[in-house]
Amino acid sequence: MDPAIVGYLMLGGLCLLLVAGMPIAYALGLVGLSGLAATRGLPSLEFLAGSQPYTVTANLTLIIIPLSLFMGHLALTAGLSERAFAAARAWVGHVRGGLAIASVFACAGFATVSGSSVATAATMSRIAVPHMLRAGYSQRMAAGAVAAGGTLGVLIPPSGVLVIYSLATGVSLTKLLVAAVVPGILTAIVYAAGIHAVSRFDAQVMAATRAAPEPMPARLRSLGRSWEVVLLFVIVMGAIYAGFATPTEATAVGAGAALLIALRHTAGRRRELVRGLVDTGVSTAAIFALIIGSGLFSLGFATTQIPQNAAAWVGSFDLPPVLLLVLVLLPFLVLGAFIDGLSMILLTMPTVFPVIQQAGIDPVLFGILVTKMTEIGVITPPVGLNVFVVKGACPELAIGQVFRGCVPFIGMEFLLIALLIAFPFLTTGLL
Amino acid sequence: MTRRHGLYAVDRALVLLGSASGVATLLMILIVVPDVLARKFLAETIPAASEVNIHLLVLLIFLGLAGAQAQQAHFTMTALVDRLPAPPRRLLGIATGLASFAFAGFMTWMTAGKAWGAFLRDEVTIGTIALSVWPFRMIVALGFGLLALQLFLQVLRLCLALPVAATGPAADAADSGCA
Repeated sequence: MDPAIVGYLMLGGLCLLLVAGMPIAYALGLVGLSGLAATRGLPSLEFLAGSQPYTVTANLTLIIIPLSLFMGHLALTAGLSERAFAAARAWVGHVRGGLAIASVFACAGFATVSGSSVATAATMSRIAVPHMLRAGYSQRMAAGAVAAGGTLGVLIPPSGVLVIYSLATGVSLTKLLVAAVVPGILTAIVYAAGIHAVSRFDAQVMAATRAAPEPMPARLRSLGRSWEVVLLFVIVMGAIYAGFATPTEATAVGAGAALLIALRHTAGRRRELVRGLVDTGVSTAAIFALIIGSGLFSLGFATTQIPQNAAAWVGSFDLPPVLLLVLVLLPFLVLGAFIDGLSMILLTMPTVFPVIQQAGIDPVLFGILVTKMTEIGVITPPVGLNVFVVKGACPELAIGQVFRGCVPFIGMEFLLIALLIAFPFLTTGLL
Repeated sequence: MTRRHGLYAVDRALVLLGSASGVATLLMILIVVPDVLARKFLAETIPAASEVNIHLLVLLIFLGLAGAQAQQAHFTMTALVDRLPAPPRRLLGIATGLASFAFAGFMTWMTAGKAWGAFLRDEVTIGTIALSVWPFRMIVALGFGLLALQLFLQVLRLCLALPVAATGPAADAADSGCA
C-alpha cells in the first residue's frame, strides 16, 4: 500500500479511536503498530514493538518526571501553597481585585515547585477560592483567577509540558527551563494587571475590596514564612542556571529538600507522604504510557513520509516565519480545547516540528509558545481541565461562571503570545 | 468472596503493586542527591548510580501501568462520549476496551519475546558496571501483561453491567490510602 495512504488512514483511525473514548496512549500505540505493520512488515514490527517500550523509558533524563511530580506533592503536603497565598494576600490583598491578584501570585509561587497546571489549580482553588467568596468576590472572578493562575504551573519551571516537548523534539531541556522563567513571570504580571483592570467593571469585586493594607512588619513576616518556596525555586533553578547540576539532578535535589521540609511540617501525618508516593507512581505510569504510545505512533507515522512531505509543502510557500508561526499555532488552539497538553505535544510534534525547523524558527521560542497554547487549552471549553478541577475542589461554583471567569485570561494569553513573538528576547534573553 | 468482589480483588492487588513502585521515586532521590553532592564537593561519583536510577524508572513505570488503569488515570478524550446516552456509551466502552486489550496483549507478547532473547544472550548494560538487562525487560512484559489483565476485567465488568472501577474495592482501596 502507498505509504501516504497508510499515513492518512492512521490519522483517520486515530481520530476515530480518540473520539470513541479510547485512552490516548493505547490509541496512539495501536495505530502506530498498524502503520508499522503496513509500511515495514511484520519482522520490523516485532523488533520495534518488542524493544521500544524499554529503550524509550530507560532514559536517565526522564526521571525528572516522577521527581517533579513528587516535589509538587510534598510542597502541597507541607502547606507551602497556603503560606504562598498568605504572603501574596498580605502584600496585594487591599488593592482593587487584590485577593484575585494574590491568588495569581500564589499560583506563580506554587508553580515554582510544581510542574503541573492541574496540580497548581487544584491546590490553590481549595485555599484561595473560599477566601475570595467569603470576602464577597464574584464566583466568576474568584474561580477564573485560580483556573487561569493554575496554568502558570506548566510554564514556570519545573514544567512537565516542557519536559515532554524536549523529549518529543530533542531541544535542550536546560534551555527550555531557563527560557520559560521570564515568560512565566510576565504572565503572572499581565494576569495581575488584567485583574486590576477588569475589577473596575465588577461591582461585587469593587465592593469587596475595602480591606485596609497590612502593616509593613506583617507583610515582611508573611514573606519570611514562605521562605521554603523561595528556597526550593533557588535550589532547582539556581543549580540549573549556575551549571551546578543538570535539570534532572537539580529536580532531585529540590525533591530531596522538599522531602525534608515536608517531614518537618507533617509530623504525625506521614500517611500523606505515602499518598504522595502512590499518586506519583500512578501519574508517572499514565504519562509514560502516553510517551510509549506516542513513540510507536511516531515510528509508524515517520515511515509514511507525511511529516517530511508536509514540511516540504509548507516550505514551498516561502511564508514569512512570523506568519508561519501563527498558522502553525492556530491548530493548537482547537486541539487544546479537546485534549490535554502532554498528549497534544506528543501527537503533533512528529508533523509540526520538521516544519518549524525548515522555517528556521527558534525551537526554544516555539516550545514556550506551544506551552502557552496548552495553557489556553486548559481554560477553554469543552474540556478545560483546570475549570473542572476548580469546580471539583469547590463544588458550590457554577461551571458556567468558572468558564466565564476565564474569558479575560484567554484574551491576556493572546496578548502575551503576541508579545513573545514580537520580542523573542523575552524568551531567549537569558540563554 | 462473591464473584463481584473477586473481580475487584485483582484491581486492589494491581493498585497495591503500583503503590510499591512509588517507593522507587524515593530511592531515586536517595541516590541522585548524594551523587550530585559527592561529585561537586569530593570529585567522586556513586558507582552505577545512573544505571540504577534508569532501572528504578523502568520499575516505577511498568509496575504502575495496570494500577493506573485500575484507577482510570490514563489520559482520555471524553468530551463526546460523556454526552452519549448510557447504552451506546457502554457499547463504545466495550469496543475501545477490547481494542486496548488487543494492544496491551500484543505488547506483552512482543516484549516477552524480547525479554526471553535478552535472557538467553545475558544482555547487559554498557556503563560503569555491567547490569543484566533481562530482569527489567521481564518487568516490561509483566507490566503489559498485568495491564492486559486489568483491561480484560474492565471489559468483562462492562459486559456484566458492573461499574468499571468508580466504585467497589478498587476505589475503596484508593480512598483509604492503600492505593
